[in-house]
Amino acid sequence: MVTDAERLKAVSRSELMNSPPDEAYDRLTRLAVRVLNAPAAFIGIADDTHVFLKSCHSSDGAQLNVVSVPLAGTICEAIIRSGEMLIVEDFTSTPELTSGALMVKTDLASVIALPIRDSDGAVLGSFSVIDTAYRQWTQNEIEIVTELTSCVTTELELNSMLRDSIARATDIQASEARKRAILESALDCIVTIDICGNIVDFNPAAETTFGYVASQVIGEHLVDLIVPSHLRAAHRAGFDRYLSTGEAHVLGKRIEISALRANGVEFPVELAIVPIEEPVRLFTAYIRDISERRESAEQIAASQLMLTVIQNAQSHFIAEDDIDSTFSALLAHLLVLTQSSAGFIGEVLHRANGDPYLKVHATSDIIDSTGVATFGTADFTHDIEFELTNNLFATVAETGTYVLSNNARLDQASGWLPEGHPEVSCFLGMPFYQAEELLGVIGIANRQDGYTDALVEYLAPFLATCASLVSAYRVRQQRQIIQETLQIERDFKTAVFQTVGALVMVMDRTGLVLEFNPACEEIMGYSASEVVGKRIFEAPFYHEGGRDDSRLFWSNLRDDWEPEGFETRLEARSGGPRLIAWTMSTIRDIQGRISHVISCGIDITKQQENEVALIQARKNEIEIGAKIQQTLLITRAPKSICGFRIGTVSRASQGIDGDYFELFNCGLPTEHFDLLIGDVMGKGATAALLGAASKSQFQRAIRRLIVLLREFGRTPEPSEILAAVHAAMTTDLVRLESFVTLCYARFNPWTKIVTMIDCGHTRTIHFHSQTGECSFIEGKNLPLGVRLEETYLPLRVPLERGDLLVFYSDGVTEAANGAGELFGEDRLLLAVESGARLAPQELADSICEAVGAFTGKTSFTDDFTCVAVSFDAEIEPLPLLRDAREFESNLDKLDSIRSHIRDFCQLRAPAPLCDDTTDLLILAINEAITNIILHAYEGREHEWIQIIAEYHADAVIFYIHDAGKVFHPDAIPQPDFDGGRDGGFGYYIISQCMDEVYYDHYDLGRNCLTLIRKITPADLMHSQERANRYEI
Amino acid sequence: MRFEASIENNVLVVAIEMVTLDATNSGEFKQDIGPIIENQSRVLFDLSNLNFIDSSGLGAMLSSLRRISAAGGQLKLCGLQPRVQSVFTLVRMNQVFDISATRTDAMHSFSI
Repeated sequence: MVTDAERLKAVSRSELMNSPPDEAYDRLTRLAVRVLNAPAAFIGIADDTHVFLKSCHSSDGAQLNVVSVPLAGTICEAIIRSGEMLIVEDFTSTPELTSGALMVKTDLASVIALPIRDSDGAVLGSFSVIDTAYRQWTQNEIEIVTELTSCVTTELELNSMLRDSIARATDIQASEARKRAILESALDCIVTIDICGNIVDFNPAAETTFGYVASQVIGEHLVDLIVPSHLRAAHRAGFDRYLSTGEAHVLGKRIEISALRANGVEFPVELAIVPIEEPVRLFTAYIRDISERRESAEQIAASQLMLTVIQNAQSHFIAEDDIDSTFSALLAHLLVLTQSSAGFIGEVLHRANGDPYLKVHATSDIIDSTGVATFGTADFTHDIEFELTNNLFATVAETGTYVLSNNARLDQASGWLPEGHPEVSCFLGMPFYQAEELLGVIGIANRQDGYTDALVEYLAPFLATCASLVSAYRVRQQRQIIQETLQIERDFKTAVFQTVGALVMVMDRTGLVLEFNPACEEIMGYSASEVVGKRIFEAPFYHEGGRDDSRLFWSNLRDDWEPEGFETRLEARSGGPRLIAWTMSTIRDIQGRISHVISCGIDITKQQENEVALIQARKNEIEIGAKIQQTLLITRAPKSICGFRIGTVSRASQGIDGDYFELFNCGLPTEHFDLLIGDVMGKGATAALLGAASKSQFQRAIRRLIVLLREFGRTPEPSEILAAVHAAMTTDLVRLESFVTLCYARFNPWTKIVTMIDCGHTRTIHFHSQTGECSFIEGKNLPLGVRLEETYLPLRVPLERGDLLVFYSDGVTEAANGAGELFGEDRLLLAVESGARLAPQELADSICEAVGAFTGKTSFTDDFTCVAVSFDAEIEPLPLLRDAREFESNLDKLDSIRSHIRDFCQLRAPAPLCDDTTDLLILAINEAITNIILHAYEGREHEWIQIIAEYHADAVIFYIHDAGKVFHPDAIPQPDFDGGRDGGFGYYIISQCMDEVYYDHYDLGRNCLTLIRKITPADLMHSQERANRYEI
Repeated sequence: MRFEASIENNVLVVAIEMVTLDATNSGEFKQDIGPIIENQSRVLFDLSNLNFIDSSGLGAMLSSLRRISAAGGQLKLCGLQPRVQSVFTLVRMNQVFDISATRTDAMHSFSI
């Protein structure tokens, strides 16, 4: 309590109230301000009404005029009431403490204050460190203030001790006066000698003091008995000088000198010699033993010396911050104080496994019996450590009290000294403690007179000082380690931050940018000043979408967020996009809350660009390949031809591997048709180009062979075509180390034979409609490009109506599912068998679906080609009348073409068509031919136009072939029916005249326009008319 | 090019004597008819002899119609054989041209 009588007595006893400034205390407040980097620290001592500001230091050095304030409402009062540490992080939360009462600053925000206690535990006041800003006091800071406060206590103790010593000295002086009176009368020694120096009188006091019986010494030479040997010569000389010259130096004076007892011990005496001339010349010496008096004076001097030593050590430590030099100085004083020749001061530390050991901070040279400095060092500059097991130091540490041995030689037999340690004659070991904790050991040795308990008592303040120094040292060391670590980290971070090529940004947890390193500046083109101090999502380098994402991130940031890496697309000042790969990390406070977020980024724009470029390049190649495949390889097949129905599926893969197939007409379209299906080894544009080359080689070969064989009236055989293509391509294929697998098949509905040449292609599946079973057709030829001398041998496969052939690329059978299993021939066979009764297109689609279902993928890694051909003559019966005729591309031929068509439709037709229908067909053909001559051949004469006319039971079909420019029916505009334009009616007229119009560009580069007009009875010439006209 | 042009009751009557009008001769027709129909406000084409016309021929007819209309004149057609008539109908040119069955009908329609 504030008004507690004991406390007030203690305050009064401390003599601190209204005392003058004291450097010892100012040093502590100064230290607090400096170490804690706080605006101010003060020591307040309070009586029952006021707080006296014993010491105050502020960081700006401002002097405080106020030295005493009323106690009520002060921190000091709060501390005295509670007797406990007071920590305020935010002063606004403690309204009971008014800032005005805090004496130092009115804008005070946080404080840490500890009670100052004297050695009896009474609270005298408070040690306070304040800050003008909100502050979280760290554990380390709290420990530092605690330590500084304990230094105040130590200082108080030292002062108290000093006062006690002075008081004791005063007491001693008083008792000396009393003693002197007694000694005057009874205790002074009186020794009388003659001129020869022989003792003639020796009183009882002398007997007691010197230890001789008078009868023993009477007649003996004084000098030999009580004068110490080192003084005898001087004594004799002075005595002789006086006798011969009368010159006296000591006679009639009180001098202090040493005397010798019977036991040989020297002791201080006060001596006064009075010469007696009458009746006999004698000299009477009044001798007083001043041992005790000298001793008391020495004790005071020793106390004062001790205080000086302690104060010096504290000053030294506070100033130098070096425990070793502090302890070295202390040890030097200790050896002098204790008249010891050897000693050490050590700190007890613990190893990682918990074993204690002694770390020596100061030691004297240890001289062995041969005079050589041994035991490690004569120059104590580095650490010496002793294990605390089985030695003297361990005993000190374990017993918890001092160990005194004045017969060390004997005691050493028990193995007290560490190995290698020189022997000692006597030894004093003392542990020192802070609270209950053993902090260290002091050892001294080889005091000439041995050690005493009194000496131990005398050294108690020394031990306390050592304890407080070690404590302070530890706190300081801990702080220093932390600070050094922090500084190293800070330096390291700064160095890394400044020089690293990576982008480094530091944000607080609200996203406020604190750091923006040079790499950021360089890469983003914005200076740190444009970014630092803003929220990161307000930074200029965000795209709007990225800005929103960032804002969302920061507003949702929680303490349990696990830092992660991600990529962001930013925009540099130059406008160039920057792709940055970020690695995030966090700094957390002691409560584990995120205080800062560090983003470390690498500019991967280039890398990304390269990757994109690479992907683009691949994509381009695939696109080129796909384009080649679309334009050159993939054939748009007719649904039916020559009594065969055809179904095809052709899917370009992601990789384009040069699958192709093609339908050829080598003779008249109704005679037969040829199917080529091929696959080039390899992938990409090269494969696609080789596929295209292979296909065009077939076209060229067929065209040349047709021309060559035309005069013989026959069409080229598949083996001849293969041989021609082989001749054209194999050398190049061998050189390119590539090859083409293919199957060339000629379907002849008239002979019901498929003539097939298989060059290493996938085995063709033949579904037999009569048995419902499938078989494989496999040829013996090698792929194109494998062997230079290859003879192509055709297989002849007879077909029945309803039979089905399935051709496919290896992309079908080698399609793999997730487990790496291939679709395979067996599954394909099953798919063909189960779908054999479907239309060929539906079958091809179902195979494609089956493969897709098997792989579980929608896209194919290989090209996927499947051609199903079914032989079903009923679908497309042979025409009743067929006529094929070639015309020159000359407008003058129009008239004869019209006549030709009229003849076909009316004169030659099995059932002549009526005039109106015939006119429409003629008009349509006229338009088609005109277009071919003017547009496809661009007016060139002497080109050919083939008109194939078929008269079926239910339709008339015209196939008009030419080799002119490709025609694009879709590009034809609708005609202008208002008469605004002369042309544009041709195609419209054709489509109006015919029921179906197909245009195909295929087969040796030929255009084929197919015109179909269905025949109904109304289209037929009336029988009477026919009779009249043709005179039947 | 075989035309027979005459003025009857302020109408230029052009008798087309060709049997066919197709890509072989429609260009020639357009070229030759130009001077004949120039500055004529009333023109009648008599197509009685024509037994085939295709889209090229239609183009030549349209060309003539536009030239006469542009000068503020009228072009009428007459005497179309069924086969020719059907081609006009096929491409809806019967809606563009004023077609009369006979020359008399046509002359009468001019006088209305």
